[in-house]
Amino acid sequence: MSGWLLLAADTTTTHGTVDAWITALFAFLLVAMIAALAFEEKLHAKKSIIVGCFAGVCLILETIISAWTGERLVPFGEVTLPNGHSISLPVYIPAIDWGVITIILGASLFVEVTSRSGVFAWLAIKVTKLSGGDPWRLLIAYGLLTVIFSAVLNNVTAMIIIGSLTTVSLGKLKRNDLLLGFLVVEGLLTNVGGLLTLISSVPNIIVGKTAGISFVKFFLIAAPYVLIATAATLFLGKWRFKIRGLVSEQDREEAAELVAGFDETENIPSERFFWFSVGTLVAFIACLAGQQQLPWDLDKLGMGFVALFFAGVVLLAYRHEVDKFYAAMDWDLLAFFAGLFVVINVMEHAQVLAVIGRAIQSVLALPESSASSILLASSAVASSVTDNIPLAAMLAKILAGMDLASDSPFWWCVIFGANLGGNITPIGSASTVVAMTIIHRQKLSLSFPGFVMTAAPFAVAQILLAILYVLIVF
Amino acid sequence: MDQIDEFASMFRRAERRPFVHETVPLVRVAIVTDGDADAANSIRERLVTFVPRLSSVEDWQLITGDQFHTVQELTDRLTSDTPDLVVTFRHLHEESLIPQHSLGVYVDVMTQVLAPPVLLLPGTGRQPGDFASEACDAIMVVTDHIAGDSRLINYGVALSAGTGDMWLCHVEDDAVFNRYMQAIEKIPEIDTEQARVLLGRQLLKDAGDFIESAIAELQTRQTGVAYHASVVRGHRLQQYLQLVESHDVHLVVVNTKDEDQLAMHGMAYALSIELNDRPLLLL
Repeated sequence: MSGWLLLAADTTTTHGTVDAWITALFAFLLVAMIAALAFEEKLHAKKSIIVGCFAGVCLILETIISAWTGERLVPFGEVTLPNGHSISLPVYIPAIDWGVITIILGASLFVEVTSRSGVFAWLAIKVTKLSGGDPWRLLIAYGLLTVIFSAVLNNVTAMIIIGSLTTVSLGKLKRNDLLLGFLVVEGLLTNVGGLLTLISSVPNIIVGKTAGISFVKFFLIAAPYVLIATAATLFLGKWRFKIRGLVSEQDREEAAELVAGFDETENIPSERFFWFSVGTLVAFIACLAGQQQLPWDLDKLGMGFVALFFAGVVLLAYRHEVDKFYAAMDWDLLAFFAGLFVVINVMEHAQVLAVIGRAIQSVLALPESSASSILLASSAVASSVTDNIPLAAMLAKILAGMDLASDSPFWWCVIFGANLGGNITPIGSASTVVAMTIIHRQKLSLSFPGFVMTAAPFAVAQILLAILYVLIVF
Repeated sequence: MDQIDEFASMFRRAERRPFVHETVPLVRVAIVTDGDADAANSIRERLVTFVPRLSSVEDWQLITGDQFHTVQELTDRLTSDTPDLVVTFRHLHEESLIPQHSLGVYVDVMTQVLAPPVLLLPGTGRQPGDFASEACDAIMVVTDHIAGDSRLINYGVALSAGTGDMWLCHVEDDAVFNRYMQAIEKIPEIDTEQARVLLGRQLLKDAGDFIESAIAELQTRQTGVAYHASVVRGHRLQQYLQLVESHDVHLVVVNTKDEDQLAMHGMAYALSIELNDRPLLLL
């Protein structure tokens, strides 16, 4: 999309007609925000501040332009509730998708509390012991655990848990020569595991919710791909980093003895809370899976309520110190989302999304296989250099405007592309950033280009598999 | 990113170094004394009374005062003889009749240069002390870094009479702890009270866990000895001396070697100076 294209004609959508220069101005701001997010580290500013600044500037500019030109860009006025009553809200409040915010808030809080029970550390150590300390079996065990943790928790927490355990266990096994390979493979698998369920990653939540894909349907479609991509990544990792199993009986015995030294119960503060956490975790996943089948209109409360409800239940165990858990929340992420939704709302009114949508529509007009392949690959490339969340939010909004059915392959192209694109560069996803941080803390040498070169075969294989999978399944 | 450190700490805390029981070979024993062959034989007889297991020693090497004249000569002899245990006294080839505030140059060098442990008997080379009125049935294993060091306990077990008590002791130095706490008190980012509690607990936990695993393992082996743990924080020398006195310990086992030190380790040295009235096994 070029500025000239934007300036060439007025844009007309359901939101009315907007002068081309206005659309071009806001398109420029959108590009500037995406660029700023890509250079987040260089700017020494958190995501929420970057997006918050752009949200504020966009809102102010749109309001001033509306006042000067008489164009109704900002929908000031009362909001009509389902019961017919009207309520006065600041214009940026209805712009925020509170369903997404509540899912993230509730799920993060729930995970924060349940992780204190030691259940995830217990599982991680148990799996380490079961591997017997054999490097290849350990890679499989950690790979599968990374995928499961990414699916149940989130990519970042999964990488932190498994990455930390990897450094400790390989150190104990005196196999630090394999550390780089393990950490890279685990980092790449976080984004594969992030595809497993509707709540495993933010792009899934945004796109899945916009498309109306249920938790169960999402899982059934994504699971086979996750299985194939995980196996492919592990075998590629085995070959690329020369990770071999132990051959001699003596080596196997020594390794098993070393990992047997781990005590999986060490980090369980209370056995009662441990089992309570396991029970609520199972119930949480079951409720998310069956949310649309909940009786007595409970389904209408939404997944966000389910997440908040379970967060509240587990918080009861720490009712005297809930402030610690509130303080541990990732408020930067939540504020980032709120700001992002405001920016996207402004872009919608300024017709920027409509222009991008038309460009995408021309791609989607191609034969479906070509359209799917191009959309998935371009989503992956785009999300490799900037945050995949704005990309997913923007594309979801655009695709929603095209009235696509919930079983359209294009939704999945965005989901696969936005998640897997994070594996192309070390800044492509938060979990690969964590992987790089652990790598550098361990004084291992891996530069930005080094990561790209190392990860390229994995990312290409995963993206090609995703394209093939979408073409076969849909 | 602090979470990375948090989880790494959790997993490090879950690491255990279990006690590994090994039978200590005691086939060749060297006795180094200033005295003559008769004196050396007398020491051997008393030694067998004190440590009954030594009755099965196959090769006694009696190195009398006229067989060595320099430290180099003695260490060369012991290196070539490769004994499993060296038995000797403080102040070899010195005029001291009572132990002074050192061990003498021979013992200093032996503990650092020789691989086999040194059993230091009471008294001096010139005037050996009394030590074997009965079999050794009260042993204390002492070290600053008992966690993971199975060797000390294995030697303690090897030299026990197969009856009585063995205390596995660890004292965390209060002075060092307080010095670090004073620094922590001046760091606003660290909660002082939390640091005091958690640091204090963790320092004792590593040693406590290891000693527990050792006792559990040794109890399965039915060695005939009752094992006790003592893991505390305090003034190290005072605590150890108090434990030795209160339990009427016959033999103290202590570590003397550090990878990065050429001289005998500080606490081992202090103990071997203070506890000159009873045998010490210096590893």
